[in-house]
Amino acid sequence: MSKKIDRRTVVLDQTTRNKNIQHHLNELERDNYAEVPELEIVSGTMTKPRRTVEVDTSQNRKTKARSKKELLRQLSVKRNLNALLEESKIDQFPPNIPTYLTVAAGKSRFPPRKFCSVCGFLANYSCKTCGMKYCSVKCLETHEETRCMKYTV
Amino acid sequence: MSQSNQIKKIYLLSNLFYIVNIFYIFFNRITFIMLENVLVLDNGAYTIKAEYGTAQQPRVIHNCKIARGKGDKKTFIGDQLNSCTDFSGLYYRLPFEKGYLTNWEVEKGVWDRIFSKEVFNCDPKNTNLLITEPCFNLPNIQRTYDEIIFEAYEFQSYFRTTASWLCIQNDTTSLYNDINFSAKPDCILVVDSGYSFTHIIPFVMNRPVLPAIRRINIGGKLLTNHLKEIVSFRYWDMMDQTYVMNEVKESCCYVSQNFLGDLETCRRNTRNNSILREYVLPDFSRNSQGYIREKKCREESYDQSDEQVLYMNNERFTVPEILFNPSDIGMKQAGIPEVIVESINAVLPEMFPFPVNEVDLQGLFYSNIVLVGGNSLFSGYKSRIEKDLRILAPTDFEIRVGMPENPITYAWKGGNNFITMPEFKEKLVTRSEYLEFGYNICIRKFGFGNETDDLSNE
Ligand SMILES: [Zn+2]
Ligand SMILES: [Zn+2]
Repeated sequence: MSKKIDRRTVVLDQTTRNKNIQHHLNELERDNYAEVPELEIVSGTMTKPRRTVEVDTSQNRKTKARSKKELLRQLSVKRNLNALLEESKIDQFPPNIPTYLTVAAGKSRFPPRKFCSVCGFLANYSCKTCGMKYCSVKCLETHEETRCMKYTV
Repeated sequence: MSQSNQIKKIYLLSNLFYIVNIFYIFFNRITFIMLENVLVLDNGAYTIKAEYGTAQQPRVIHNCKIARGKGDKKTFIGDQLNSCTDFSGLYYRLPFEKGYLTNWEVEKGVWDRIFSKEVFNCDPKNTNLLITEPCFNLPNIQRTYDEIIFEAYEFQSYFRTTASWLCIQNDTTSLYNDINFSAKPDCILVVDSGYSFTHIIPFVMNRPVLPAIRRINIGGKLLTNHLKEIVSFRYWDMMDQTYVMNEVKESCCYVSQNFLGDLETCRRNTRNNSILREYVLPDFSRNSQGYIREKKCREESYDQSDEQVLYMNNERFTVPEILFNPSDIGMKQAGIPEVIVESINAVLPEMFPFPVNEVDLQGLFYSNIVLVGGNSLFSGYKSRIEKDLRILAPTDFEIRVGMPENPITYAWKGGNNFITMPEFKEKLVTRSEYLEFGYNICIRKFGFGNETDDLSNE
């Protein structure tokens, strides 16, 4: 509840406001609201009993790139998209070659519309503290009680 | 009326073609490919659309593992989700992150399941696989596809391409109502709005124009999450109910043709508000489905039941509206109609294999637009795109927007069509080729930019 006091004294600058918007957009990409209890879900389709990995029979085989076991072991190492993007080095491609990084659509030539963050109708005002929009005194009250500074770390 | 039947008929009727085809089969390196040995697998981030080449329709299977956090803590993989009856408190494990395949452990779990006897009874060693990958897939991820398919599963042969390219292997001209001859148009613009994002992809002579492709970072997942969030803030806490909220989205949301007008309507009281819907949330303890109930006027709504009702008012259209105005949620990208114009303007005459004037070129795209992907199913989606394009595009262009009956399985259908063409055999990389030449053979045959060789790089 100490946030309530903060809100009156703190005014977020534009950078922080943009950061909050970005944080919110990232939240919208989540698969699960709550954290996944990791252990309960892994049902062991890829992970073989550890000790068999050490028994290396690949020497006996023909010069195949690697054993299936080794491949699966490599792939069970989790890497997120950011790590894979970095590994792909597509940021170093010549500028005339389109990649994932270059095809994102640009921004609209029309100004953004303003909606009340509480009720979703058109809004004419922004909260002096956090910059979120509201449409009426009633919605401002709700905003101050529940939403204001919610995304601030 | 089916496109693949039409193609097969053309083959059978044209003797010359038939003979050439037989010669082709006997004198080329790849032996005869039976359609029942071809598995067409559109590997979407939300659902897999797959079936053997002999089928007319694919099976649609969830591409995820789901675990229940409470109670029996049961895990469901792919098609097993159909046997799930309690959709509360589910945890999702998806192989895709922002549209790209990053979690192979989950993906292999799902593929193991669907290749098994329970689903497709697939023997990879005798199966030729046609599989999709996202637009601008990363080269290192593409390499992993090759490894998994040839080394872990040992498929006989495979071809990897994008779902949008498969879409245009259908007869897209049949999507428009007007009379036409069914020659394949030189220019087609595909708008693929799926679970992870939306791509606008111009094709010229069956090839993508890579520098003109655009991506909007909005897909069905973001829309469901956004709906979940505003509903939880305004009415009931639904943050943990992704599955239910997705159903609410699919049954209640629509694309508005008059956004500000609809917003005004939503201010009216229950009786005069033609937009308001009352969605009765499912009660899993009693095994009931969610549904839209008859509106109740205030006086009769004395709590006679313990139904949990969600009032869907402006949420019905402000959510899909984000596809048209991403700035509504603070995203600094233009919406679908504006990006269609941007993409068409980015196709330059010099990217063409023959001389063409810029105006003609743009006209061809505006009259051959195809909408695919799950978000196309929002009611009003197509007409809103037409309406907005009419305003944004130069007035003398004809705007023709087509949408297949099923925009989710259209890529699979195109794939099912493509495997009957002689070009399919040319595209396949066999396992023995892979073992001999490694990834390079896949890069060469499938095309580097993932889209079977780009036109502009020639
Ligand atoms: Zn308001
Ligand atoms: Zn505020």
